[in-house]
Amino acid sequence: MLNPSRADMGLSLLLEQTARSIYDKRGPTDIHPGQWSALRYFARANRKARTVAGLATFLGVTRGPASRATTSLVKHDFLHSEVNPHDGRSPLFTVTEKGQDALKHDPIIRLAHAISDLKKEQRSDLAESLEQLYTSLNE
Amino acid sequence: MKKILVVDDDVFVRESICAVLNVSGYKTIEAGNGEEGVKLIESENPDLAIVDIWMPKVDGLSLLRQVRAENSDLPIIIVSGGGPGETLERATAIADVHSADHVLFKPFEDDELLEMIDKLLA
Repeated sequence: MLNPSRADMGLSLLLEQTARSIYDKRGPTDIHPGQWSALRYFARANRKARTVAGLATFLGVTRGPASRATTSLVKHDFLHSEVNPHDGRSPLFTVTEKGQDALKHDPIIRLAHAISDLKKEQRSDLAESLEQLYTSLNE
Repeated sequence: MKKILVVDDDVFVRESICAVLNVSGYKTIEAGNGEEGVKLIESENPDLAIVDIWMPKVDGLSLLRQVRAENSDLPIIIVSGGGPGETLERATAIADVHSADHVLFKPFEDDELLEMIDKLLA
């Protein structure tokens, strides 16, 4: 395979830097990117799916990392656990008031606003390009 | 009577969703994959579609892309569970990009599905 051009290397670095910059300003909550994914999941998932197993499936990881992210969010009062009436061994999690407040300052919102400022065609091209790039990287 | 299309390759899941909808007063039509689903959307003009994310041939995300590419504003609920393809996190983001009206995560309760349908058809 030929070496990529300098321009394509530059573009790749710009993409990486853009992704990293999302979490540059973490703010007072100091939630890590993986924990943000978990918090967003529990805020969005329907009640019965709000379990560690549900999160693990969502993220495509084993139960270990999903459990660690959930435990940390519970410890810092972003999530609350309750007994699951369908499965006593698998608690259900709900987002606390503190978690809801944190989600109002979710770092991904800054990026969403920036994307909203793009022209419709730019946004559509971006969506198509990102889907294609991700597919290429994961083939 | 409102007509709801249920698209899922698992016949048991499809039938159980249809049974819940029928009891609740909805007419249902069924498809076993996205390709059949797209055809039924064109021929039967349903009021809403419930579409499983992972299916052979044309999957739920491809169905969503096709329907939205034709500027249809048909309400679509994507039902997502673990599958062989992309992570659910990524699939959910793609569903959002292509304007799915709601993403329901498995497992879900009948009430959660019915509540969402009522909201979308109101």
